[in-house]
Amino acid sequence: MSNKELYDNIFAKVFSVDKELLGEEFVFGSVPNWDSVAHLNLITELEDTFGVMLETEDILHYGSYLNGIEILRKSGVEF
Amino acid sequence: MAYFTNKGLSIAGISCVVPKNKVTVKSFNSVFGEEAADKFTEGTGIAQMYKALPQQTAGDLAYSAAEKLLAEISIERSEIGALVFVTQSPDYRRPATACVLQKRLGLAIDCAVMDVGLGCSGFVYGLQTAMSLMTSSDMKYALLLLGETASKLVNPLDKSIVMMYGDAGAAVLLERSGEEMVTTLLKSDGNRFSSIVLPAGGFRDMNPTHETFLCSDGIERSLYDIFMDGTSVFSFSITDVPQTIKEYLAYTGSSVDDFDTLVFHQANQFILKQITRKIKAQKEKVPISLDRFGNTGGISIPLTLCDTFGTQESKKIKALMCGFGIGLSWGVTSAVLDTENIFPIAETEDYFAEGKFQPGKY
Repeated sequence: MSNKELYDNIFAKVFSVDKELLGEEFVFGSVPNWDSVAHLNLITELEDTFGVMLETEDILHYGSYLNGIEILRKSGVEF
Repeated sequence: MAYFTNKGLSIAGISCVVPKNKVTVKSFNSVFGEEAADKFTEGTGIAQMYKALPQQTAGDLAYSAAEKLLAEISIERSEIGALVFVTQSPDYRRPATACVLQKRLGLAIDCAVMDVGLGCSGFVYGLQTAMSLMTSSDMKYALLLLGETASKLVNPLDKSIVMMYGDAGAAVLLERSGEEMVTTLLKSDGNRFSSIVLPAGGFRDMNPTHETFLCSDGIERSLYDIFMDGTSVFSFSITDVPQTIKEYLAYTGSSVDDFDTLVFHQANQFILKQITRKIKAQKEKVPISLDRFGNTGGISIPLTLCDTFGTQESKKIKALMCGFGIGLSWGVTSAVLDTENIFPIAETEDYFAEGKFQPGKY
């Protein structure tokens, strides 16, 4: 499974949404399920799956599906 | 820097109680839905907690913990020279609950008693306060008590908090003995006082409306409900707190490897994991009790010690302890503990019936 597929699976699982909804409009504030607990689950799943430790600023500002890909790229995850 | 050193003082015993009222996160399925409750446990690590019975107060929980401790460790109560009670859920607006506890425990008039109004940092602050009183006197023993019933201050529909807070009480006996040095570092940042706040009921706004309104996190609350700015508190917990632990280690010339256990305030498992990683500690050294007791505020450090070492055979352990939270307020300390004097957690349904005032009866 590619990293992109793994990434999409995490978002679909954490936010209980279809993968078709994942895109540039999938941002914090516009996703009803994206609360503080979902945010913890998202970061935990991403860190465990990709074996990375995100910086505090990245955790706090991990506010969108697309921005998250850039943050993970910065941590060495290839997409 | 607020560093404190205390020589010739030690922790002679630790005892904790929880109310006899276990509440599981699953029991909230009917309120928030099964998926939300499951995801809460997944994210925070909290699966259950104990909530105070309607008539139980923080003072009751602390009293039960103290009686249990004094039943285990035989000392003359008249030799206890100070009682420090840490809570943000006092039994009365006035007087200090410590005075009521002094009476209930049968302590001497020569005993100095006071309340300390702190939350999750309260164990470290309370410990240093009691040790400072001992250092500047000749008292043989001091009693540090902690009690919290934060569950009574939460909007029942606030899913960010109602499944998080557990209630508990703790008692810690300090004695003048040995040559060990206890070093403590205390910090606070009042600029962030509104990060965790319960606005109503104090003298700034004593009797405002009970109507609920929509808060910035999309949850309905009244001014009488605890509000937590999750982002601000989260940022504080995973930046200031590990930084302060590193400062403490540098000041004391120690490393995490010098400690047998690293006991942190049980905020949530994600924060514990982040702190553990940032100070480069082994996760096996960081005990977790929040899965079964929730976030019990200042009691969470002694509660975790009792949960982890309460049934272990006697041995000396070196513990690093860090509390952090509302205020914002945080602190780090360390001590050598004998597990023989750390007792298992008990459940209680006791309360001080005479403490309830009846109109026209006093």
